[in-house]
Amino acid sequence: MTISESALTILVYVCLFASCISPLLLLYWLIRDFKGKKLW
Amino acid sequence: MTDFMLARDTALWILVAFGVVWVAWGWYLGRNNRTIEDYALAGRNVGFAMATATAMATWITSNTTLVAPQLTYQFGVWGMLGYSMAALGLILFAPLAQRIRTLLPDGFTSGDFIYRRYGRFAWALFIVISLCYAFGWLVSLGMAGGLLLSSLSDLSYLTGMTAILVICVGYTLLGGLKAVIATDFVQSIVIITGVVIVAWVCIDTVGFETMHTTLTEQQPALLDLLFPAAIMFFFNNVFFGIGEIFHSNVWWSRAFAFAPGIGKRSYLAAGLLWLPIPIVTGFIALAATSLNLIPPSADMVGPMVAAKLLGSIGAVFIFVIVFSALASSMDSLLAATSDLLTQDIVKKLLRPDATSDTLLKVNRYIVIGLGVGTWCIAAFKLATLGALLNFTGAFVASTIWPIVYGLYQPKLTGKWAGIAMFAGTVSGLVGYFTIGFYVAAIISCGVSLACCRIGIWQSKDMFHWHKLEEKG
Repeated sequence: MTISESALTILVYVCLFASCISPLLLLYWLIRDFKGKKLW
Repeated sequence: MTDFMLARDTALWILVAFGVVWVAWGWYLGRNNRTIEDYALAGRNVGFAMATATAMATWITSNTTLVAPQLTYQFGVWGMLGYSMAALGLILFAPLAQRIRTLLPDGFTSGDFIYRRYGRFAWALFIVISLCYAFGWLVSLGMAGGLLLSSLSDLSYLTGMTAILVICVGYTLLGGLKAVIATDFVQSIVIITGVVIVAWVCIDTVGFETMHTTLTEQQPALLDLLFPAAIMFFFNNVFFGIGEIFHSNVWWSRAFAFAPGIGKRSYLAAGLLWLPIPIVTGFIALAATSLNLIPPSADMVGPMVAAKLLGSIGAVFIFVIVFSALASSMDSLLAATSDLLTQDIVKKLLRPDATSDTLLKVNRYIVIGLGVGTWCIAAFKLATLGALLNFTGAFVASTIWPIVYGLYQPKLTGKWAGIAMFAGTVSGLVGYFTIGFYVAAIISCGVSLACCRIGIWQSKDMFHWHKLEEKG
């Protein structure tokens, strides 16, 4: 039993989308901590 | 030298530029470090953003950028899925991080916990396992540095390995954990952005249809969902990842360094954000066949595919991503291992009366010593990255249950925790040599669990948690 092309496509696109959001979230949290003086 | 490789001078200039910026920033961040707590634990008050980024960046290693494609190239779809399961280690460590911070408010290392909870016998075994793992990982990172440069430029393996070690030792030495965490933040942004761009170019250039058709015709096993060794690898990696994180001082020192209430949330967020990354980095290896690439060794497949897709400018791009991935793990490992040696060997065994100033100096000397030691071993280039990494699976998986039961189950004694770690490691190694690397962690974890359960079943002792607050 092999993975179908569509299943592979969906798997990779979902992961790609999640990976796109990560840097944005990290930057948002950084700014929030910086403003709240909770960086360190 | 192929047309997508970096020229020697370009590679050297990038390394020098990175080296100067990172070391200068490390010095700037570390200029106010006065005590061993400032240096080793960044003052125990790291906020959520930095905490999440450092947990994530440390877990995105050269192994994620080099070994994930390698495993996908060897095991297909299960290879990348299996590697992504290592995120469970971060996710499951989240509640433990909170409990560790609560039970040991003054703790420094994972060794502190084992010593206070289980006594000397289990602690000695644990330190041996921890140090074997730490050196294995450090050497694997040093080797990855050498491989990176030799695969993406015409610099020698030795030059690449030396450069990355010198840079990481430099800023860790000057800035301590604060420098490690701050550089990790930048590195995590660089790495994720980079792997997303490479994956996007791969989809755009090769496409899923071509990739799937070529593999179906030439390497159908890579798309097979019932590939036995790959399924075994999948489960092995779950336990390996959990074992790596649960025992390693890299993660414990962060649990002690994060501000109160931050550990649980940050490890959970880091795990969820890390989960898709091995799939994004690994899947590009599936394009190797379509691109007619035959890597000289399996761990070169990732850089080769990426450099082929992105051309000569892309080689610089890939170089920076993998360098960041290497540095973000190597610095953490240098810092955490030097803490372990300072607190568990020097303070506990050799100089129990050492002052904070003395320990600070010793910690810095140990960072240098670790760098030199790693260079000496990595210079021999003993094994492929994956094999070296998985060799340590037998060691680390044996510590999972002694740590979990140690934190939550008061009936497990030091004697049985030690037996569990010893029997688990030995049986895992037997599995590694007789069956294959992909079963070492599973066997080790299973045997260790059985020993712990026997220990709890026959135990009449009850550990009092307040003893963990007593300085050992």
